[in-house]
Amino acid sequence: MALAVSLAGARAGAEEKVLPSPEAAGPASEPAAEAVPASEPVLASEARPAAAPTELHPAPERPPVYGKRGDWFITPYGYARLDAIEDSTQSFEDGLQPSLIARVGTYGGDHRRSILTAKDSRLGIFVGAPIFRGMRSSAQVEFDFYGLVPTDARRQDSVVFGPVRIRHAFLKLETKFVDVVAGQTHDLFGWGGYFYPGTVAYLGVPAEIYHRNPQLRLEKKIHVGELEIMAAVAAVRPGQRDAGIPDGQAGLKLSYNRWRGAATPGFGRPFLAPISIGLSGVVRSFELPAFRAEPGSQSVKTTGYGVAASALLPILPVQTLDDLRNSLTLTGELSVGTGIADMYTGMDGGSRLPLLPNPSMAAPALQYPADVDPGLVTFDRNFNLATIGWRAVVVGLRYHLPIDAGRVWLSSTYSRVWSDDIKALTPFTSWGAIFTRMEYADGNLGIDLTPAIALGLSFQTLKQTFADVSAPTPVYGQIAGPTLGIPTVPGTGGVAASARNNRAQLSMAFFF
Amino acid sequence: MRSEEAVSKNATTPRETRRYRRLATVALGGVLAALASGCDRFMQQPRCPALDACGGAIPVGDWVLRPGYPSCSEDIYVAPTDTRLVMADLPAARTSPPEPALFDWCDLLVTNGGNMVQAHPPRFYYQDGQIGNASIHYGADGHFSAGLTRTGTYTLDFPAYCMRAFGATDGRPADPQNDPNGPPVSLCKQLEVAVRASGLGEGSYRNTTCDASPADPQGCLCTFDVTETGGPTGTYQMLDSHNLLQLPFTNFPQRVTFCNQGDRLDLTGADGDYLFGLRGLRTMSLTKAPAPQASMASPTADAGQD
Repeated sequence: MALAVSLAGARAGAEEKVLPSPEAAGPASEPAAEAVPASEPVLASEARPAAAPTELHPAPERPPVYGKRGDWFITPYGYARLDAIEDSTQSFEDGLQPSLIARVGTYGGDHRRSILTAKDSRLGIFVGAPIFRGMRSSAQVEFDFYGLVPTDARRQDSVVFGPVRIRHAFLKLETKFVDVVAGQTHDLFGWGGYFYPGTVAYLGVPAEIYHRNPQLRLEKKIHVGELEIMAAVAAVRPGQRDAGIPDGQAGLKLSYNRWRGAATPGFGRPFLAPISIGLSGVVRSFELPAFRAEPGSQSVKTTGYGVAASALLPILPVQTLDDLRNSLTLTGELSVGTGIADMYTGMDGGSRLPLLPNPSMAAPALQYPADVDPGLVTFDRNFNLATIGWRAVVVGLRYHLPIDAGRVWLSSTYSRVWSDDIKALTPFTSWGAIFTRMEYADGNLGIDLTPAIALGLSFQTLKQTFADVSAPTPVYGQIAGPTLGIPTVPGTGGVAASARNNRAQLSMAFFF
Repeated sequence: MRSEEAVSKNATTPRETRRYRRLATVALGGVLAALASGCDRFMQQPRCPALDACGGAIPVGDWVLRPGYPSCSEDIYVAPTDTRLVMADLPAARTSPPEPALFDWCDLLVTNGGNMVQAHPPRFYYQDGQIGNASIHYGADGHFSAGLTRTGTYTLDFPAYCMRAFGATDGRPADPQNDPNGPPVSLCKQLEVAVRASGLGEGSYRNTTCDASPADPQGCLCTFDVTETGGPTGTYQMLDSHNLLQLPFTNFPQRVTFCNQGDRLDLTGADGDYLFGLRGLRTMSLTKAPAPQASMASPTADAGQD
C-alpha cells in the first residue's frame, strides 16, 4: 500500500481526535479490504479451487474516484475496549452525565451498580485523496456503539446489541488560502480534541466542553518562526433548530512548536503536542413560541453565548513518543456562558421548561408546544425567556513514570461546573430536581501492556449539590402544651442537599 | 527539552523494571479486589444512621417522641405530580407524551378579576416535612397504631405574573363573599383570606399569611404551618430478639429493629426500609408517654396555632 500523499493538515485534524492519528497506526495501515483476520473460518470449497479455470477473469475492483488506487491513503483505525465499572449509586448509564445522582435514602442512592460494556469500542476510517491542483483533501468517518436504544429494549439488548452511532463524518479541504472542514466533528468551541485531559474516565468528564456537531468550518494557519497561529470560524448546527439561525463559533489557537510534550485525550494514545493556548467562543439564538397554550405566531427570542480559554502545558517536555519517561503535561479549561449547557456533554442541570399556568382550569392541564432541548433556556418567574448560565473549570495532570519508556502513567483530573442563576430560574417546587453545582475528581493509573494494549484503573467521584435545602433538625416540643409539635430550639440542617457517586473503573483497550 | 544525557539518566535497569512491574501488579490486584468487593465505605452515608438495635422486651405501651431526638428523615425530593396527564386519557396513538417539565411557577394557583380572587387554590407544597409529633401504641394484644404528624412552617412564592396576569387587582375587599363592603386591601391580603380558607379546608395547613414579596413586590409570599397527621394501624409480632415485624392493614409488612430500654425505645427501619411506610422516615427515638398528659390532648387537637 503506497503512502504517496503527505496530508499534513489532514493528519493534524486526525490528531485532534481521541483516537490515534493514522500516522500513529504505523505498519497497520493496510487497507481493511486486504486484511484477513487470522481466525476467519475458511471453507474447504473456498480454500481449494474445484478445477482449473477455463477462462481467467480479473478480480472485481472499484475504480478510484480519480488517479490511481495506490495514490490514495486509506486506513482503518479504532480500538476494541472493555470497561468494567462499579458505581456506588444507581444513577448513571456508562458516562457520568447528565443524570441527577440518586440521593441517599432512595433505593438508587443506597445501592450499587455494575457495568460491563464494550460499547465504547470504536471503528473509523481515514481517507486521503491524491493532491489535485494543489488542493489536499481527506475525510474521516468514525463510529462507536452508543446509538439510540429503543425505549422498550431490554437492558441486556441495550448493552449487548450496541447500536452504531456516528461520531465523526467530515471532509477536509486544504488550500493555499484557507482550509475547509465540512461535516460532523468536535465543536470549535473549546477547541475540541486538543485540550482534553488524560483519564480513564469517559470523555467528556463533567464540566468539560465536549461536543460534536455538524458544521462548516474555515481554518487558517500562520507560522511565525516556531509559533503557529491558527484561527477558525464555523457555522454550526444550532442549539435550537427552530431558531432558524446556525450557531456561530470562532477560535484562536497559539502553539509554540519547540516546546512539546505528550498529550493524551482521555484513554487514548499519546501524541506529541506543542505548548498551546486556545480561545474560543460560541453565539447562538433561541426563538420559542410565546409561553401560552395557543401562542399563534407570537414568538420570544433571546441569545446565548459562551467563551472558553484552554491550555496545554508540557511541564516536563519530551521529544519523541518512543520515550515518555518523566513526561508531565497539564491541561486546563475555563469556560463561561449561558444557554450552552449541551456543550458539557448533554448536561442540563435537571432544568426543564415549567408547566403553563392553567387559567381556564382545563383538564388535563394545558401544554406548551416546546421546541427546544432542555437545559438551555427556560421561562423565568416573569414568564420571560431566559438562558441558563454556567461556569466551569477543568484541570488535568498526567505523568509518565520512568519505567519502560514511560509505559506506566498516573493522571488526575479535577473539574467543577456551577450556575449562579438556575435556581432563580426554577419554580421553588422543582428545586429538588436541579443541581446548581457539580464537582468531579479522578485518579488514574495506566499501564501499556503492549504498545497496542492499554490497561487503565480509575477512581472517580462526582458530587452534585441540589437547589433545595435539607430540612432543619429542630427539637420539637412533645409534651402537651403550647409547644406541642412546634419547633422549640433551632437545630442543625438547613444546608443544600447533595448526593455523591463514587466510581471504580477498569478499562482495557486494543488500539489499531 | 530533555537532553540525551538526561534520557540516559532516566534509563531503568532491568531490576528496577521488574520491581516496578511487581508494584504495578500489586496495584492492579488491589484495585481489582476493591472493584470486586465494592467497598461499602464508598457508598453514600445516610443522614439518619441506624439507632441501637439492642432488642429487649416487647415494647408494649404508649410512646411519644423523646425530647431532643424526635425523628430522622432522609432528604428525599418527590416531584409534584405533572398535571398534564392526571386523570386524562393516554396520549392518542402516534402522539408522544408531553416532555418532562418543571412545575408551575404559580404552584397551581389561579387568580383572576372575578368576585373571588382565587379561582383555584395552590398546591400546599412542602419538602422534607419532619415528624415533629408522634404517638405510637404497641398493645399487649399484638396490635399497634401510629399517629405521625409532619410539622413545620413553609413558604409559597407567587410571582407577579401569577398574581396579576389574569385580572386580579389591589384595592378590593379581602373577603368579598362574607364582607363585600370591607375595606380595600392589597392583592396579597385578598389572597391570604382565600389561601387560608383553602388550607383549613384541607385540614392540615394553618396560619396562612400573605404579604408582598420583598424580591418581587408585585408578587406575594405566603407562609403556612403544616400539621399533617397520619399513620398506620395493624398487628405486629416479634421476629427475634431485635426485630419486630409490623403488618399494617393497608400496607406491606415492615421489619423494624428496636432497642427497648424500659423508658426509652429506639426504632429503625430494618435494612433501609422506611419506618411505618412513611417516605424518608428512618429512625425514631421514643420515650414512654406520661399517661396523664397524653390523655389531655391528642397530638393535633391542641396545637394552638390559630
